[in-house]
Amino acid sequence: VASKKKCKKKTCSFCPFTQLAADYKAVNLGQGFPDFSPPQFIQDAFCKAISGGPQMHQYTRGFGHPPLVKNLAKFFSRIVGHDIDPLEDILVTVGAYQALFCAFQALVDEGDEVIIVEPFFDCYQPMVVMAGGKAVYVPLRPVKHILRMSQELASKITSRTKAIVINTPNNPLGKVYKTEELQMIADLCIRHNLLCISDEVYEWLTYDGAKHVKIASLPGMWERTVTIGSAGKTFSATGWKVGWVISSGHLIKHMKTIHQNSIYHCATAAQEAVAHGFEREYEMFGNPESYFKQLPAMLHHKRKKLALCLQSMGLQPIMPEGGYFMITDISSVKVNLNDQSNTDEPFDFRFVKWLIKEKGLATIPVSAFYSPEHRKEFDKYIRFCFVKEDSTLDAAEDILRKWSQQE
Amino acid sequence: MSWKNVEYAVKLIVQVIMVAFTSLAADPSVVNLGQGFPDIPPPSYIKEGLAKAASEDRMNQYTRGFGHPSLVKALSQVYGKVYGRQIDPFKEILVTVGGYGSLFSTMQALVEEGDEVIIIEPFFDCYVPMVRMAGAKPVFIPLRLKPGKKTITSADWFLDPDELSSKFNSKTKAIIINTPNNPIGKIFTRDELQMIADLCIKHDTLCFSDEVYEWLVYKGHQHIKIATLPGMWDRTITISSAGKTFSVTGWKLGWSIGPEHLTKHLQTVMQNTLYTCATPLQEAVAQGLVLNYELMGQPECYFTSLAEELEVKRDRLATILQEAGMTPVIPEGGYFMLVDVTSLNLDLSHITDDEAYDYKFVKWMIKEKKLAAIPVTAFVGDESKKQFEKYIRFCFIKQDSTLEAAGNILKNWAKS
Repeated sequence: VASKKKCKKKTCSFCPFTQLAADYKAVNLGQGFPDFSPPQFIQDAFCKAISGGPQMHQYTRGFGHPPLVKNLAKFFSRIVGHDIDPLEDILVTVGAYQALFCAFQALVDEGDEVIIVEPFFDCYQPMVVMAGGKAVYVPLRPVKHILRMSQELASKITSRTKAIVINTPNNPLGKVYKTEELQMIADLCIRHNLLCISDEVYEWLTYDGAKHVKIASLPGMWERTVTIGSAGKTFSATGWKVGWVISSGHLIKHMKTIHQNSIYHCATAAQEAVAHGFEREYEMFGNPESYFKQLPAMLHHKRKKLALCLQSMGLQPIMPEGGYFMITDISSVKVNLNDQSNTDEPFDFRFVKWLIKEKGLATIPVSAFYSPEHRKEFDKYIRFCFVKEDSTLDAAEDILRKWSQQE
Repeated sequence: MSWKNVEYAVKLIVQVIMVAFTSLAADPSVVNLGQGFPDIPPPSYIKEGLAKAASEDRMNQYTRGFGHPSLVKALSQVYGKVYGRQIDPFKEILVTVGGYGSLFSTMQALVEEGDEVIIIEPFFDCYVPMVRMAGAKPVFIPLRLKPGKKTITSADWFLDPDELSSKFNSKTKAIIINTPNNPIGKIFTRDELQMIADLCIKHDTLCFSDEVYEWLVYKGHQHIKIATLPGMWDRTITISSAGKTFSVTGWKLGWSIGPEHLTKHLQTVMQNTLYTCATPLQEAVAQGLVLNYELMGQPECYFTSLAEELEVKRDRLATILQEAGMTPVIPEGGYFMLVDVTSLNLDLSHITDDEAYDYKFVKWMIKEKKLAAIPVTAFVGDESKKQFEKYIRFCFIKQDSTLEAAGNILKNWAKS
């Protein structure tokens, strides 16, 4: 049986850490999911859907359960400032992950170049490659200077460039792109006729007054932007795997084709529950009871808690403006990694493994979110997820305190 | 993917009738025996299992990408028994978004640009766009009807051995089989599977076996897994569906079972496409499997009881159709029935659309008789359309009241 050339794709670079964390029963601040429950109203909505009529357990509309697409259109039209057509401008997918897959498959052709801003959620690159495209990287640099970023981005654009991928709020950095930065990207997209794939799964999670801005709402961008959202991150129910793409119909049409030929339908009951979630949030929008206000407020406190803990250890966390994660510079940590493992592996990979095995604390190495060409520059950072119960954060704090006392 | 492939897929989507006919038949006054999903409820313990899973915190967050541990373990147990071999839950199973998702993962993982893939007609209509999306060429071979029988069953449809053999060449990467078959309901016999297996081994070809209707087998017939034939485990991916197994098509969970050296590539595709399936749904399916594993071989086992329930409906629908002057093809398995409408002598030549007879017939039947079915030429390649254009497909996994309503329509039709 012939070898499968297509399958020599990069596999998940941080999956081994999830397994290792489980094996060592580590306190898990690694993979990005809450260890607290979704809000009661969404759990109730799911229960209601499950005990609903028989149609709740059978196929629904392939491109998105009608109540869900209607509620998404209603909700986001108000924010984007564009009348979103529920049937033409939205595609519901199995998590934002599948939305990304449909977007890359539909919009990237053989030989296209796709600019990815680093650090990036690690699936973007294999998805670009699977679509026959080539990833071109532009790193975010610690000293942000909008003109320099603009120049660097512009210098990477060629006649083959098809799209730019941004993630705001960003995983793992936590950066929330400002309007001027998005405008700069928009100007380049318009000038060079590029598409913009905007992964906004953490859109509700901004801190310290940072504002999430949708690049699709900027002039000239609706027709060339693909915006990706996630019920998992929105309602703290990552295991439901409901996501969506919102874009102009002429782009959604191609994504529908990919979807219809790969998955075709998403689970009905979960979509029904998410539809109710958005109906409730539409009514509550701007209200203190809105989950979209309560969740960031709760996480704001956890973010601070983790940061203080890391600072007290002599580590330098980078305060995220948004998202689930906080990265920390570990270059000041003196540790004998003492491992017989692959010394070709980046420092942070080896450090994370050591931290799991020796201290029982799981994190993710940040160089996993960089291209091979830039990995070495960024191998002194590790990523923590702070979307955890206080007890989990306390347990992590205990481990870190004991460790620093041992030094 | 290249725009060429997308355009092809788009053209095929235009032909994919599910979307078009679903909206036509969505009129509530239409009796819908078209699209293939139950209007009977799933077993209550399955729904309860989902409610229970959803109430557990952990179950609302990500689980293992290649399949929720309790689910792959349950699958390993159930199928270990069925296959008569140890199946590694972590290396030889992949959980996917429905049988559909398994088909997609299989094609993307194992089929390459320039390959040929043999498809038996009539086929579940997604096979062709999926083969094309992988950059490969579909090669068709029709099931042919043995002439001269008065009562026709799905067993009367067969593959011509010489014709089948002629389709294999050095470019052939795989053959797709679907048993029990949608839409005919044929269950491939051991001899037929052996013939296919011999060719696969001779030409070093893979076999993708779509067995989503594996439990819906009627009296006197047996579902055989081609992967259990000698030499076949190592070259077969077998696809199943929770939706069809537990009458929960809206849950969209399925699984692929195969040897590690093939399954690992499907797992890579999974990692690069949607990463993981929904957790609470997987947990509920796991519980359902564990429950039924204990009951396997007994009449209370859902895998047996559903087939019994459906056999009665099958026979009822067949009788209704015969009384209306149509010729049903009695299926050995699955929940569809093919019907030959030739004897109705319906003249549709006044409809000038450039469509096959069965498309015109179904549209006319929905409009004039308020009864929905699916045209069978949607399930065949261009060259076989003439052979199948007098057939329509009915789905009988429906409430008795739905079948009776269809019966009334057909009774009145016969009278007119």
